[in-house]
Amino acid sequence: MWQRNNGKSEIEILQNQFTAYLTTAVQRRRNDYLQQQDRHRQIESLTEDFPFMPECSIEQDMFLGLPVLMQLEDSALLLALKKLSERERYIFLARTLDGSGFEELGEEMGLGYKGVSAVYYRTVQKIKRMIEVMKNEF
Amino acid sequence: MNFKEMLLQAKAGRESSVTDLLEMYKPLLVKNAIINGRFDEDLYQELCIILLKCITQFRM
Repeated sequence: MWQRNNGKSEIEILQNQFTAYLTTAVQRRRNDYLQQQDRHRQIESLTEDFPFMPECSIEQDMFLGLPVLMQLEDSALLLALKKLSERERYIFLARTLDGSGFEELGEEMGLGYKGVSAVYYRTVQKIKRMIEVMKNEF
Repeated sequence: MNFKEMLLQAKAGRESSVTDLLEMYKPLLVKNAIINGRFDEDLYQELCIILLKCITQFRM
């Protein structure tokens, strides 16, 4: 067993100095090692992902290239959207997907703010009702 | 043998003194070789090398 070091005699001071020196060196090496490991892990994960990436991105590109209506997975919503008039569909999609404001849309369509918002909310109600009906049918 | 003699002999290249120092500082090395609660042997080996370097480079 090693005796506790009180740091009083010359030899004990020397030992403490050596221990401190060693501790610093060891901690630096440890930090370097951890960073090295991190870097390796990043490189590894990059090369691992690479073979799977092309497929994935092609699929996604194709998906994004489709018309808006074909991107929808919810067939009930899709059917409902198909039944709407052109104007209703345009306002609904511009508002929900592009996030355009009622004012811009109004200017575009020659309607007032209130007119556009009325069309929009009526459309939302219609879609809700249609989806309800379709759910009950199935 | 006191610490100073041991260190001097280790510096001079006496193997048994180096081993003694390694044994003496093993707990410190093991403590620093633990990553996320797991003992990393590679790191432990690196730290042992650091100890050997420190012995030769430490100036008294």
